[in-house]
Amino acid sequence: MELSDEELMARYQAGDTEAFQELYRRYAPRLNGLMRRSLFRKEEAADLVQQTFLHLHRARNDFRTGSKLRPWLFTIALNLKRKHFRTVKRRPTSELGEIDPVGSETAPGTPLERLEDQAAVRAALAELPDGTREVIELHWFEGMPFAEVAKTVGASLSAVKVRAHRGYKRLRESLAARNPGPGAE
Amino acid sequence: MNHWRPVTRARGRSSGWGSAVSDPRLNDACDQVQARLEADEALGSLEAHVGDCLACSELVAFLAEAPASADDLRSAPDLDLDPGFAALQAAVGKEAGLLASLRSWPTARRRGLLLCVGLAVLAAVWAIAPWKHLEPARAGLSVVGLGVILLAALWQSLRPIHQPPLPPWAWWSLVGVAVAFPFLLSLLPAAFHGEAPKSGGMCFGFGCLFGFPILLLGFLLNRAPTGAAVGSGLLLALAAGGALGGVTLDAHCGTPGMLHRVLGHGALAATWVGLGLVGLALGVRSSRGPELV
Repeated sequence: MELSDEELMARYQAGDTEAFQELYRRYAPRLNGLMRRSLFRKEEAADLVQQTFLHLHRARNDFRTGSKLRPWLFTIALNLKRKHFRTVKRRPTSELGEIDPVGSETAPGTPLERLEDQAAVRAALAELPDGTREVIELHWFEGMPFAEVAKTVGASLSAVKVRAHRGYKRLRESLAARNPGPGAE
Repeated sequence: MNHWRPVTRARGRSSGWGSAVSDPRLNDACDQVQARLEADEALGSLEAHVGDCLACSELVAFLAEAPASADDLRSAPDLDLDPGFAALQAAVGKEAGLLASLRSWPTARRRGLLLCVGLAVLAAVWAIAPWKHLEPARAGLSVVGLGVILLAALWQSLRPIHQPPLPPWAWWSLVGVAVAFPFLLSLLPAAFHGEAPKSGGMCFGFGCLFGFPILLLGFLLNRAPTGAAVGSGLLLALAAGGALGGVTLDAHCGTPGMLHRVLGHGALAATWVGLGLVGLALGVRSSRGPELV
């Protein structure tokens, strides 16, 4: 039977490095996705993923039995991401030329079309205010329930739902403006 | 881009929800809607909730219009896991020794240690030079005001990274109060019973000495790696050091004269925090590159 994240963390606190490796295997691709949605250089994103796990290691004794690991880990990742953008003094961007399409096996369209679609979503996400974008990323992309999103970003449940409502609405409007539809021309 | 079609969520990359049906964890209608969309299942009886809930209705509308390939942004499989973990293990392996062990202490214990050191400095100053110069009301204001600043700055200087950050307004308020309060305190009229007025240089020096243990320990217990640029935690340790220096000075020195008190006592926290802010600004510039923490 597969161990839960929390059980793995408890084992890591007890010194089991294989548990740490399993946590890395589970979460590194998703954290990489979180970083890559707004950071287009693979190396930058990979470095932030490494930093996230390094901080998980440093703070391992702060993790308490009964807590959930996922919001804990994503809070670290979001803090590092914010810090990164503060340090380099820029916001998430969406330059088409710098990115590679990711995970495109199931999506329709040519690679170029998929790249354009992904760039459009990234650009729409980049236009959102930071707090709203984080809620959308955690809720839509990571599949976190609102309560967990609230815990991760440090806001109330109602505030998170309001941000989600505004965020989805703005994303929809932004994407509609980029893709007027068949009859628009 | 007419190839856009609604996002279909069932892609075999579940984010941990499993089946949306009857999951006991989903006690919120919004979560059930999300899980059914995730599993690409019909909303059924949840349609009514979607009609009432602004967040859910916008989510459903958004998913109906978003491009399908957008869902691929959920995960980025282009990370090399094995070399990545090997590099991580190497970095973790370097975190050994007494300092790393101290930093890995639970945050409550690190904060407790910092507080004990602050109290020990106060107790030592009290033992060497008992409070006798200042009128009680003024002394009380100093102890309570600077004590609250000291505690708040100590607490926040070791705020762990797995907690959401302090809102910027709260952070700047704390720094602002740590600078402004000692100045205002030094401007207040009070009856002093000490020696004749003299320059504040000696007091300033002693204040730095008294505040230094907190600054040093705050730096050592901070989980940012050695050599990292000044961060918000270290700046708050500077504010805490300034507050501790201020309260010990007020306990020790009864020298009258506003200029002495402004330059010798009130300027201490401002100087420390000011230097920290300069370091923060310079550090931000110099840390462009791989050093992020």
